[in-house]
Amino acid sequence: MHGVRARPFHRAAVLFAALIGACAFAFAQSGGAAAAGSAINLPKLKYPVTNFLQYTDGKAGPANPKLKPVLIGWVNNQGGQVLVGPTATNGAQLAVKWINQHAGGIDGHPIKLVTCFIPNTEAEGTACGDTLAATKGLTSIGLGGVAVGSDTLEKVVSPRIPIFCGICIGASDVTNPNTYIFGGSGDAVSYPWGTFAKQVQHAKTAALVFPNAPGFTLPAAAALAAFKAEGITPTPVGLDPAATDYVGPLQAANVASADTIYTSGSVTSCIEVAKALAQLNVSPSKVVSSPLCLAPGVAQALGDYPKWYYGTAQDNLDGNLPQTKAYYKLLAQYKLSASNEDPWFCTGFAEIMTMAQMMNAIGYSRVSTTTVSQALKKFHGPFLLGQPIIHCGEYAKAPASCSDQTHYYRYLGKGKFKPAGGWLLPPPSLRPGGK
Amino acid sequence: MEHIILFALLGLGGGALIAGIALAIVLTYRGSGVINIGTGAVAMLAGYAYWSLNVGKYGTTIAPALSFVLAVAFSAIVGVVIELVCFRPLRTAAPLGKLVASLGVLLLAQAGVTLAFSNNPQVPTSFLTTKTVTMLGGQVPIQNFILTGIVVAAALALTAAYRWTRFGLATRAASENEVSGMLAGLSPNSLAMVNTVLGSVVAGALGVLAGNITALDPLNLPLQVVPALVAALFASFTSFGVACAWGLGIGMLENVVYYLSTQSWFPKVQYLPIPGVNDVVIFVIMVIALYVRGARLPSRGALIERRLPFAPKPVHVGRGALIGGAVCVVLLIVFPYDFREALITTMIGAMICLSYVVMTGYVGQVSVVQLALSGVTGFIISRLAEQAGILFPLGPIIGIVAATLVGILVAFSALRVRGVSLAIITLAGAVAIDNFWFNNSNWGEGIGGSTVPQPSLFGFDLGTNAPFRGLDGQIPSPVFGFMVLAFTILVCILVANTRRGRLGQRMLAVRSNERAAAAAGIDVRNVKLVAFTIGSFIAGIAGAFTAYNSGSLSADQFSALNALGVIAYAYIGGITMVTGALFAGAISADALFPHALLAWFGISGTWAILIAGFALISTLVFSPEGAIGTAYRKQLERRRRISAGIDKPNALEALFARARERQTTTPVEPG
Repeated sequence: MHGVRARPFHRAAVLFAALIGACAFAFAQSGGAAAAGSAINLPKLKYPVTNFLQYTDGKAGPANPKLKPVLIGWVNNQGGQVLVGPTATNGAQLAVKWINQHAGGIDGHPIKLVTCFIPNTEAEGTACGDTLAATKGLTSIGLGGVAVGSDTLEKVVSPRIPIFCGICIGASDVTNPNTYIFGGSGDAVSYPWGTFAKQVQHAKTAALVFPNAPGFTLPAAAALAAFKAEGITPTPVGLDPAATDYVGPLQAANVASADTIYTSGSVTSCIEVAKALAQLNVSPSKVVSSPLCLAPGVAQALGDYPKWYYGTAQDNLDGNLPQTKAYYKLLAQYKLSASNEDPWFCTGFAEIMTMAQMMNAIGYSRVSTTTVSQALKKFHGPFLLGQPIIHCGEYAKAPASCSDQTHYYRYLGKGKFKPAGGWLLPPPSLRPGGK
Repeated sequence: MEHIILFALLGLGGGALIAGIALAIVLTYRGSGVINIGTGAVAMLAGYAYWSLNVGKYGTTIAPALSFVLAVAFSAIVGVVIELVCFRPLRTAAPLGKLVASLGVLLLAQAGVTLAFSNNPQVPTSFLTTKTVTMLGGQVPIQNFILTGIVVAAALALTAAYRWTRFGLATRAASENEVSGMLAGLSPNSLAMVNTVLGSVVAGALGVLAGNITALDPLNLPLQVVPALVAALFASFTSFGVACAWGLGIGMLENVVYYLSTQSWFPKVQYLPIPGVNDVVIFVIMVIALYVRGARLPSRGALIERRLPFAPKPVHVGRGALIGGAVCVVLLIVFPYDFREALITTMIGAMICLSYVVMTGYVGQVSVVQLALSGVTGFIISRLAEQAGILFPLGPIIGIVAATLVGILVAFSALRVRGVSLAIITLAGAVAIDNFWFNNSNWGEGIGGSTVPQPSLFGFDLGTNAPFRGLDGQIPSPVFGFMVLAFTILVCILVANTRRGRLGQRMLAVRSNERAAAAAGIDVRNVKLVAFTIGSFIAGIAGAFTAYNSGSLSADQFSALNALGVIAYAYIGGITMVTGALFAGAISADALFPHALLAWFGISGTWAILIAGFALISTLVFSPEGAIGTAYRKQLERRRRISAGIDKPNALEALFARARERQTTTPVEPG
């Protein structure tokens, strides 16, 4: 009986559903956008940067906590199952603390981070995007180590709010509009692997071992291309992300006979590669890893970092460099020396310091998403504790990438690194314009 | 050939771990009838127990041998707790309910370990030698042979025990016919307890012994249960020897594929070996094997016939849609942006759960692949837009049709397999699709991401960035919410009408008893195919809206673990009811309920997973028919008591009763 009685309601419900669809059109046309801009003069600095106050273009002394803060969004994978670089947040927070205590904030206005963490899912990236997009006065968004959720976040806030990061690992980061990867995209900074293998290791054969999953295939494909460009014969093996025993895949990649071994991956895969290579008695001097394997979790699990070469877009590994000495001194002041070689801590710190430079150059009264975007486009480095030269948009396929230089270090144990080869560029055939 | 043998031997270590977990799964299934997805988590817990005792995490450093013994003892205690708290109360629940409860065990263990030890991997002291032996031109770890020997010995011992000991014979008797077993004086509860504890001990011991070949973290080791389930399914959850052989075989195959991937003929993407080949090979072997022998899969002779919950005929569908729709329209406009996003996520989640209502609730087919079908639609929309410029509405139409076709392909594997066996084969299918398709940078998540342009029609923006922004003026736009709502209502009506019509009756007949249904003249095969078609179509729609809502897709969104989570939500809500699916949508990840927990109590991340695990198990124990299903049954019972004069109606019930009375006395319009 109910079924028969319900039919008029049923028809009405179908009509109602159609009506709601029609409503979508009715509400669809309104709103607009605004843009503005004028000249921004960023400070001209020389590499290496040892004076952090000069780098931030600030004034010595504390910021006035009573003044309205300058808001910078900060997103990171932490608090859940995704483990990439949770310490990047600590680095960013240290930069904010130091700027507000010693560099006068932004024209006296303190900097405040609006944090949003993505613990587990892409949907949390959308939620973070919604929150940050709804935050009034937000000038820009910084990313820490965001492997999950950056794509969805970017689709909500881009291109309206500029996004910046030191090391970006989300798949769409490199092509996202109004995004600036100071340290260079995964592919651009992996091209110098070929140069390093040729010039420093004098390699003829290479083994590539990487997790065969989005985010890791981009740098692996770039390293492969670089090896080929330098006449080195590569053997790539993509690891199943859920793989357990790495002894088999490493032998499939011919690690025993290869002159150089490229590896990159999550904390877990870095540990497993290290264990398997040790089991196979492969010389650590053949291994060149991405800085992802310098995450504190690797040293914590293995007792120390593997004594490999590490290619990095940062200068924080060599304690003898003047800029690194200044950085270590600052960390020591805050009793944070344990973070000396942590790439994520360093990149979080450098990102916020760089944004302070731009905002000081813009001036508090003119700081907005539009002016910050303009400043980011004009930024040519040096990047604090990073590359001497910054050129955003140089690579057509990776417009967000701002650099393609990589610095290599050999880890000697007990926190000591030895530089190898200086800042290296990709093989000429892979550089824009073949230079 | 030498290389093939070498890499097969190199795969023995990983294979032994899979085989060990498979043995534990078979043990638990034979004892308590539960396919324990949390078996890998038990191995992980034992691994952490060993590591923490051995490194002196709690003050005293204990020698490896004693740590091993204590860790195995700890895994036995874990087994006792799981059996008492989770499996025993669900003894009379449907197999799917038990499977979902074991998912709760997995979530609880993962979240507990993350909170106690962080998610940083640990490297325990190796219990076995780490030396290698040179053979066939390569180096093979000696522990591979030791682990294989241990697992094979365990399989032989268990086989012998089940064949020749009183306990083994009793377990076999009880699992084959529980009623006869009880009449013979056997206690199914005791047998279940002993088997679950034995299973936990085997998994725990392997979790410690294989510590050197796998990362000890909350993710990798627990997920070894997926290949182990495949091995156990090949063994029909009965034969220890077959489970062991397939476990070892899967590990060996994986390593042989690594070797083959270095060959010039092996397919490449971006000059790198194509991902997921191993998973596809396993899935294809599984489909062929089960298609050939599917009808011979055994089922347990249980004391009480375990069925899916009651599937009531939906009433007041139109009225419910009108009222619910109107409320949602208002909420989409007045809600702040974060709750608006959560409401949209709720509706999309409800749509995926509605696909389970058709396939599982009505026809009894448990397919884990639904979320992957959503991903198929999503990635096709993205690829069509990026590479062919095909946009809304043609892109999603093509995507939904493709998902439906893939769903029909999956359906063919369901023709000979059913129930939880189908769940496992589709779980393997979901893993294969995820790794082979979604992780492939040419077809799935691209190297530069997989963007999805905003939907628009005739110049009208219908996406999350549409200009109308509700009362708070923020994104996501209610316009997108209206579009999702319209389709959610239409899908609800489609599913409700399916149940109310003859097709629904035929589906329920198939769910109840396939042979009886066939004897009654119902074409069982066609009914299943139609159910899979409808379910896949709905999953495709949900995938399209997922894509447009997030604006960018990643393979992680559609992973097999997430798919199991969706089934869990659907079951907790009430997998046989439209309203159950709507409730399931509200409790699913990032939907209204979890968002309220985050917004009002600050609960998120690992704590949210921990609470979800508790909620999952407690809901199933106290409401084995799902929240809405149980509420409906209680309401039904109360009505019966009232009509029998046992209870008195309260004021609201009296009002509804009068309204129903008036309806039934109103003349029905002819035609």
